[in-house]
Amino acid sequence: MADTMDIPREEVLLGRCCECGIGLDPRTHPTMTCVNCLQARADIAEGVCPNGQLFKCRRCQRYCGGATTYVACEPESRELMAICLKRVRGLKRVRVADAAWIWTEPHSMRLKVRLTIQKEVAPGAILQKPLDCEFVVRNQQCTDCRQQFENFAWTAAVQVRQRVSHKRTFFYLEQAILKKNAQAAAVKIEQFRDGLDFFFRQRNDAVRFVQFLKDCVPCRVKETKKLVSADPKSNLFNHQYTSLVTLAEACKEDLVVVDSRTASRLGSLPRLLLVRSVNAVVRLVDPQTGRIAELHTEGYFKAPPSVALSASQLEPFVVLDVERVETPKVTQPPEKKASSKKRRRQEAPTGPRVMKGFLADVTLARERDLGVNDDQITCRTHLGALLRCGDRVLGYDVRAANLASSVDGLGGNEPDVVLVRKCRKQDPDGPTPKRHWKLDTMEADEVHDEADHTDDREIFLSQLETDREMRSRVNLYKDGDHVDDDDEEGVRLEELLDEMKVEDEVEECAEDSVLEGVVVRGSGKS
Amino acid sequence: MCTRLQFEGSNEIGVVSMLTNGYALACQGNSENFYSVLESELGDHIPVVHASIAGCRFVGRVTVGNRRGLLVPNMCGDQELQHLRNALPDSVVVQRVDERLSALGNCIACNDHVALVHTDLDRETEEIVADVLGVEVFRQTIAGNALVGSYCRFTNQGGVVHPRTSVDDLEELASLLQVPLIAGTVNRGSDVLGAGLIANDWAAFCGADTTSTEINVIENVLKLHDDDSDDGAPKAARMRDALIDTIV
Repeated sequence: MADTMDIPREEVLLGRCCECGIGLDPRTHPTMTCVNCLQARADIAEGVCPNGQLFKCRRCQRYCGGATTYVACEPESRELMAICLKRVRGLKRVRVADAAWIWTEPHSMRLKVRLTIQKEVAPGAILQKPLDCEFVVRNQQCTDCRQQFENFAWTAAVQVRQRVSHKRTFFYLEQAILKKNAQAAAVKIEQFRDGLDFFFRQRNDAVRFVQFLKDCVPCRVKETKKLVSADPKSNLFNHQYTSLVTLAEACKEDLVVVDSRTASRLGSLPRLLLVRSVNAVVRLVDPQTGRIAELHTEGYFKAPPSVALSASQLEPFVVLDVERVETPKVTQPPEKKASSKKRRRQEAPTGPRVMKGFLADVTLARERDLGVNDDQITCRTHLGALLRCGDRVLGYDVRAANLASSVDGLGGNEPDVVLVRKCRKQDPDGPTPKRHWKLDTMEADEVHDEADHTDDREIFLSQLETDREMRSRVNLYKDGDHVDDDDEEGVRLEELLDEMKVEDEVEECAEDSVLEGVVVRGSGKS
Repeated sequence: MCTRLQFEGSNEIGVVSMLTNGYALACQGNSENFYSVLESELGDHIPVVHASIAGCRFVGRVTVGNRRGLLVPNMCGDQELQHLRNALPDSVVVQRVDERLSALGNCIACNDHVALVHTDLDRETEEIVADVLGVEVFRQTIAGNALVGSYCRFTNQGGVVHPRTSVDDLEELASLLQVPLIAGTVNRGSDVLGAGLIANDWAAFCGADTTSTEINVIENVLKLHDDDSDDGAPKAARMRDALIDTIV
């Protein structure tokens, strides 16, 4: 008896739905109404508008996520779902338990979402119901795209100028820019007779681009700004910023005359020097002694060297005899120092590259004199190690040059001929040589330059061919038409990159080719 | 016949009115609609009296009574008491009760024979209930609630109790009251039966939200059907029985 008393008897309840009279348990139905009657009585989707509109930019395919913000969303992504749910009116009145995509055909311009909404219709009674929402996707140009179509959409412009008669620096700059994709932020590129204009939407992009240029070539920058509109009440002022970047006039392989003070500062060099390379620093070489000096940007623009002869004035010579010259007496002590970079370059003891540093006395004849007269010229050159009898070599005929403006104070001991670089073996006259590589091109949006630069481009390409260091700063691509790997001095096949034709195929592809490029270039240098 | 009724937009008609076999009380409303309905249904047989307790309208919650008597709380003023004594038949004893639980209508539920009272009610009050109303008094709870007057409504014919009352409790209560009981609701699922429903042996009024299912349950258990009552007696006969009982 006591046992039965202790065990609580299960309560039996006789509840009835107050509307339909169906039996139910009052403990689980506090409103005393069955689910069907509750659903019939209260529509929880009331006030929730299941239709809406989404705005999408037709050009950049981004969806409008707020008043002015546009968000790039994958189809059926979380971000897109968030935007859709934001567009459902009255959703704050209910609780969203679940949301899932219903597939729609993309061209239907419809998006469908199945929501599961919950709402407490009475104290203790929560109803749940699926609700299908449909959104119509409408096209609306986003603010960024609209600005791009508007005139004068730029806020910062970078004007790159070089006051010379040729375009070789810009050919090089184009390749350097393309390699780093530095022009990506530019909205417009215009080409002028002596330079390029880059237009940017953000000032920061322009500043970054100018910094990039400073790292590539010695240049002077002048900043100006122009007031476009002003709202003094709100203290808002819109400016257009312009940076005028003036590049150094000296180019690779130019023969320049430096200021006498500069020459002495560089280590008692003669004033007539050859430009070996132009990067952030200008490297000058004395063809008589093979000594190399570096001019930084500040030093360069303190007293800019004047260009006496330029690469388009190079003349071909034929080597008749080469006589090696013992290392000249130099002022520096002969023992190696870690800091004396110049000396190390000049007489670095091992490796094939060092051979370039040997001085030689060369007997030459101008190529056009061959078979005409017997004029022979003797000159001392820093290219001695490269030259053999019978080689074709390019150089400046200083005797014939008009150095009128800069000749004062040169001392009259300038060489007759300054050799610059060796010609490629199979370099034929007349037609342009065929190459198994090619370069990418940067398309200008507007071209205000009608001149033909084929000759300058040819010089630039041959410079690129003979200078491995210069090649390392640009991207070379395989030209499928003629691939021959028998060229020892020129560009090797491993240095070339596969051209990317289909850019949006798979990202892995791009990574592979980049990796390949890096590895190959490393091995090419070794 | 159970009539749907509303008092100034509220379905809790049991708060503002009370109904016994001998009389009905209704509070003074802004309009006379509520009183008119009661008067039209009941006026031919029993007096329907305007009343207020302590100047307030919650007549049904603070008074309790049957055909023999009416208990009012001690906050009821002398004038109000006098008015009730004047208006009610002489056979009805009106008695003021000095009870701490002054909402007598919530704490006590009764018909003409039995009363259920709040478990904490005073011994003296219990005796007064027994003497004035002439009923047998039981201290009880309904579905765990001590407010028996709020959660049940029964007459001499039958009664409705809180929907969560278990079958065992229901049987126990039915054996105490000696009338059939059922668990039910009024006003579309509300379990506050005392507030949503007033009833005597031949008439009942419920809140306007009450569904037909609920009315059906109520009419069945209170035996309010016109013709298909359990004992076969027509409504008039049953009403006469109750009235003769009142007179005698």
